Amino acid sequence: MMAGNHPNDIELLEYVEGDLDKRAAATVREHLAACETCAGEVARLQQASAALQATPLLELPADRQQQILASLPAQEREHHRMRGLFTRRRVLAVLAPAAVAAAIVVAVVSVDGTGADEEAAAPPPSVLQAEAAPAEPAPAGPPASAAAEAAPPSAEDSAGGAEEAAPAPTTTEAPTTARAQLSVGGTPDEVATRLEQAGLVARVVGETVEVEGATEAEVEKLLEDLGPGGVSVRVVERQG
Amino acid sequence: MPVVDPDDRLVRRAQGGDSRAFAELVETHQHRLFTLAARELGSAADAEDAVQEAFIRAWKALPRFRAEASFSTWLYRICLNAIHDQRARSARGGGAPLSEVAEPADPRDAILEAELGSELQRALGDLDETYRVPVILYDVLGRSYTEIAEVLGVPEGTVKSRIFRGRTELARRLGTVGAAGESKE
Repeated sequence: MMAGNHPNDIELLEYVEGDLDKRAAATVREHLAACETCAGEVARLQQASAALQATPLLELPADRQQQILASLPAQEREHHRMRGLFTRRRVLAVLAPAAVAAAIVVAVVSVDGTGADEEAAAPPPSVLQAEAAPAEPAPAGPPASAAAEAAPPSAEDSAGGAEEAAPAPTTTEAPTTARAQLSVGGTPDEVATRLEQAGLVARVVGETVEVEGATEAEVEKLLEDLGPGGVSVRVVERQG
Repeated sequence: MPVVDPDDRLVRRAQGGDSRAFAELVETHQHRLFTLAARELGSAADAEDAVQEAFIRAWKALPRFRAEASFSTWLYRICLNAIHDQRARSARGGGAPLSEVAEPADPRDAILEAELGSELQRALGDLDETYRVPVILYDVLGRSYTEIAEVLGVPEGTVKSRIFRGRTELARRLGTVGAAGESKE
């Protein structure tokens, strides 16, 4: 366990933190009594720890908190649009002309999350990359890179995660036709979220929300308390 | 690997677009993120911007958050990224892009000022970021080795080594413990 006669760094830290079992702690203690070098390290570990632990939690000013919260709605739209585009497995089916005896269905499955919303997955701090520390064990960390680890979930996670949180019906997307169009208040994302929560398939296309799986009257009822506004809601149905 | 994430319910609501649930998450985590950012950046204004940016990124990415790590672990990662970007912006002389630098008149600001002007903060600032981050997460914010390992994407042994190195370097810089025995071997 001990390199040379000295406990290693981790053992000394664990000793200071009280993480060693009795026997190991006694061995280290014995060593410290005879080894000025290690005793010095232990003193430093304790001193730095005490100094750091004595520091207070620093409070984010209340006005900044307000500013953060006030800035969210603007982001919400973006985020839901992302969700519409990237978090649902998109299955696109193209139907062959009816003249063809047997319909040929070509399904293109695109699980594409790459490139989207990279801000949250921005370049990682150098601390995540820096593995050059001498005498440190090589990280057996995530295979891709620390960047990927630091980043919020990957493309696969994206799809999976969102589905887990807000299961959306898997759709076979055939061409759609609009049956009706409404104009309601709120933002496209609020509207889409509300419709999705009601179990419908909704997607944000620019300033328009497309919804399927319900009648115009049902959609109208679901959104009725939003009142009239600038969001166009297209009630669509699948062809074929 | 947390068994139960205390934020779970709020996270699920926020993932559904509930900004009030997200506001509660902000409330819960803002001071810890700010402490991390302020200790890392050494500037309250930069730290505020980094934290704001982190929360905005988290909000935007929330639908993609998968509860493989705890929400707080995920948030720390995002915050470290935002801190890193903020540091780069400041180094380029970008100042504070998200807001005017507030001139506070609150007793808490005096604390903040004192903390960020302290000898300890200077010593922390001299540390390599590789060691400083784990030390702040562990000793200042009380995160576990496991969580720090997840945040940084390194094994727990590496976290411990870095804490060892960070603390001992810090103590040397603070200079109050004798510098005897610089090398063990």
